[in-house]
Amino acid sequence: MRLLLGDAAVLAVLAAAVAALSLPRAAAGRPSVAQVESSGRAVSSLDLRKDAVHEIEGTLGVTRLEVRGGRVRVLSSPCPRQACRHGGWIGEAGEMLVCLPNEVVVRLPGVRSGAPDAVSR
Amino acid sequence: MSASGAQSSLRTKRGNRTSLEMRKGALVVGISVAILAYSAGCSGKDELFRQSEILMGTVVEVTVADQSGKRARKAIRAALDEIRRIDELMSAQKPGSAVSRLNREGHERAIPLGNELFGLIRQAAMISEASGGAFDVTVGPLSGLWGFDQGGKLPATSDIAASLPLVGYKKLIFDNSTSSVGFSVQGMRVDLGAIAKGYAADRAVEKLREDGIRDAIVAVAGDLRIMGARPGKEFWKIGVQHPRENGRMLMTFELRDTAIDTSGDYERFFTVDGVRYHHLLDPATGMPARGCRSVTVLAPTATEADACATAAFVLGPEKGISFLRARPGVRGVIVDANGRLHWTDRELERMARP
Repeated sequence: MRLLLGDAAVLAVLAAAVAALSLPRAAAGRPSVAQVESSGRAVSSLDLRKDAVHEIEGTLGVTRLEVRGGRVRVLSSPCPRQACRHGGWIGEAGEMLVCLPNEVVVRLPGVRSGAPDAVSR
Repeated sequence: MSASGAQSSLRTKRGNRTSLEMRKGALVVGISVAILAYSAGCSGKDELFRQSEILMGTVVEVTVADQSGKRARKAIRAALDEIRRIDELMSAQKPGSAVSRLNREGHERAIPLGNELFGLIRQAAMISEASGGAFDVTVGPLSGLWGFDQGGKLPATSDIAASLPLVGYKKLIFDNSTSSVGFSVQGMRVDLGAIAKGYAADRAVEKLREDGIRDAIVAVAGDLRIMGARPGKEFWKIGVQHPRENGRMLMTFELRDTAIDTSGDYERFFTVDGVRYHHLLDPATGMPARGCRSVTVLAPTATEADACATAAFVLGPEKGISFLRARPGVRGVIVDANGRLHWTDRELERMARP
């Protein structure tokens, strides 16, 4: 069974389509954006490819987020316990930083392969 | 690109075909259908929809697997609204809640609470009784003193001693005919912090079910109610937080149609002179219970898992395991103060994955 040019073209297009479909999953481990919510509302989408410090207004005051090397952390927060700051850096799909008192949530979209669907913590 | 699109492009370019070429064309189409089906199959026929919100002073996350995004999003909104309603009713921090009213006026007269809240306080009192007071829904004066919701502070010993007589579920007065609750001692306070989150997870799952959802997880902090399974699987994969390594899983379970809760000394705590003071208080001493690092409980409902995890934590590893074993449908694992694991049963131990 000989493969003709037309067939090859069709297969090439199919292969490209499959590659495009597979790409988001392959890249799901290292997201390129961080979604930021304040008081339950989406307020910002941070580009993790650009190192920067971002200021997010929360219910108590300003939470400063630092983006560096594809990761993000809470640099400073007006909350009393500083639990969000102690959470350190996150960079994997599905990871989250939460400041409950200031109601700021930083979420990395996607699901890491093999990660639990939910965590009892 | 659709499979039929691939087929029509072949016909346009090639014109008439021999039967072999027809079969070859069919093969290409077949491959494309298989590949596209595989691609769709990777995410399952159902898709995952997830939304989280800060409610009840914690992070609430609802995960739904469904074919219809519209139905899933609507159901998730209704589930989150239900949790918001419960918070408005049961929060001791919200001055307008029924619980706040009970705490302000309960020593003057029995306060009508409605069937729902009355029923939950009644259930809490029954678990208090079964645990010999290790879990106590009247721990309010002590939790107020320690102030973990505001970051926490070490109270004076004299203040703790003065609060202890205000704690005790046996001092609650129940009036079944009017669904009312009162206090027999002035200064008592109800605190549903160790049962209301589980109850909220249970209620949210009922809302999802009413909206036609069959596969979901509702997580109110560590309180998870699990329904059905993840797309393409027979279970949901649930992680249990390691009590000493932030972000690391102690173990995972493959679960469906159950509830799981973990209570630990790492959730809300502060440190003074190297001593960790956490929010799981022993109602008998007014101090943080010292026998465990964390307790994970599986139970038919998140309400029961929530209260039982707190009770077992306060009871400590040996008595805690006995308490859990005595409750039908309840099982669990306790990490003691030295990091050793204690199981209610071998089967659960075998179910645990790294």
